[in-house]
Amino acid sequence: MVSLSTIFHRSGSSRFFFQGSVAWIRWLYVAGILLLVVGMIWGLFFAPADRLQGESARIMFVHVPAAHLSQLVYLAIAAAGVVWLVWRMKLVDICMTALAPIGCALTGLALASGAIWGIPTWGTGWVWDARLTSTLVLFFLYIGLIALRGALAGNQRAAMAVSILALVGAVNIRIIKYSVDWFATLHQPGSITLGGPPAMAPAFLWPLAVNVLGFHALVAGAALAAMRAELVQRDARTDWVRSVLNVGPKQAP
Amino acid sequence: MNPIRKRRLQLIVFALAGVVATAAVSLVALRQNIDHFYPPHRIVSGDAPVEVRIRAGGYVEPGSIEREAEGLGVRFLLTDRAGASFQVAYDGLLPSLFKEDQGSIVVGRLAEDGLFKADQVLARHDENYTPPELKDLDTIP
Amino acid sequence: MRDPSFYIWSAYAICVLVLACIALRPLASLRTAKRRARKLQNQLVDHA
Repeated sequence: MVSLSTIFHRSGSSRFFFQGSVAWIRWLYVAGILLLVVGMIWGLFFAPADRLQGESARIMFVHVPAAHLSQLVYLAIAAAGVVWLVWRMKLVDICMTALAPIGCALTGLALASGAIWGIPTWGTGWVWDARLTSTLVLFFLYIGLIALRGALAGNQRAAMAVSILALVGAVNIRIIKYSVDWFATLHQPGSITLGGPPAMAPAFLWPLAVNVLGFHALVAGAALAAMRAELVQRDARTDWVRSVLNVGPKQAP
Repeated sequence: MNPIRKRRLQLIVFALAGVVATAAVSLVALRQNIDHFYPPHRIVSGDAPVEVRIRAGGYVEPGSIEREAEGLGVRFLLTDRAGASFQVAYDGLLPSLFKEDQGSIVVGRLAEDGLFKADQVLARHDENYTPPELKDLDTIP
Repeated sequence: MRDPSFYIWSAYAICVLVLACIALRPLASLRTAKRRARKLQNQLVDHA
């Protein structure tokens, strides 16, 4: 039996993470791609059209998971920010660095697919309503995180700045979530809520669930893979990278 | 947890509480302006400014859509389904989702006589996703 | 706007493109990072 604290410390070790994450990444990529292929074909060809939106409703199968993941990734960065500010764990800093571009891409995808849906449905691709505006703010927050990381020399200072910005920006996630309930928005309220029946027929719910799961798996896999890359880049000169990459003289046993 | 870390955590919690409080206060202050549209009861009560470009929204009253004999001109009533409603005049193409009983947002100016002259009409979709076969049902089983 | 299928296809195409970037970028940067690390380590060995 390995005690919990051993796992905690070991998982904080760069080498343990670098080697242990390979299998996870492989399975997450495989699962993600399979689920997304099934989910997208289901959504495009087999799910019914909506009685009012018609065929455009199919865009929801990529828009909803992208928007959901863009917020979840931000919350993960904010949580990592708390952990970094308190424990100063290097891997947590690497996690924040790896997640920011992924979240940025997902937010862009949510905005783009939303606009594509909005043009035939609402009659416009963009309005300054609370939901859309707060999502645009999220996009800028991600850009801010990436820029801060690039602009500040020294990992400690950059990590500090990124953690604080991530934490402060987390308020925006609450605003995105409740914007449709607090304000009169053009964007409709959520169809799936905790503690209530979904306002969506099962024929839409199933392909959506498959796509959401697929997004989760692929994003988790990509995040781990990006962390590995960042780790090797930062630790390029260390002994563990040398022994993992099999270069130079072997260390004496 | 050692004392230094504990203090850091406390600081973070305080800072976060401050930020949340600030955001909450500013949101309440902004609430008047951040709403995307005026609902029908605020148009009827005279809350909405006259001859200023505003947004208003509501549900399209069934049977209220009147098309002009020539051109694209159309008039309809927007209601909140609770008694308040106002008339909208619009001259242009309507979005495909614009239908009776569906939500709609109109952008334009409110005239003195209470007629809303819209230069843009947007359809608002609700949160319900229903296949066409179920169209006779009001709610999803 | 007359033919909604164009919009649906474009939404899915953009989605696949973005997801491919998300998935492939870390793999590419891992390769680069490994190559640079190897070069660096070899230099360190040469200097020693």
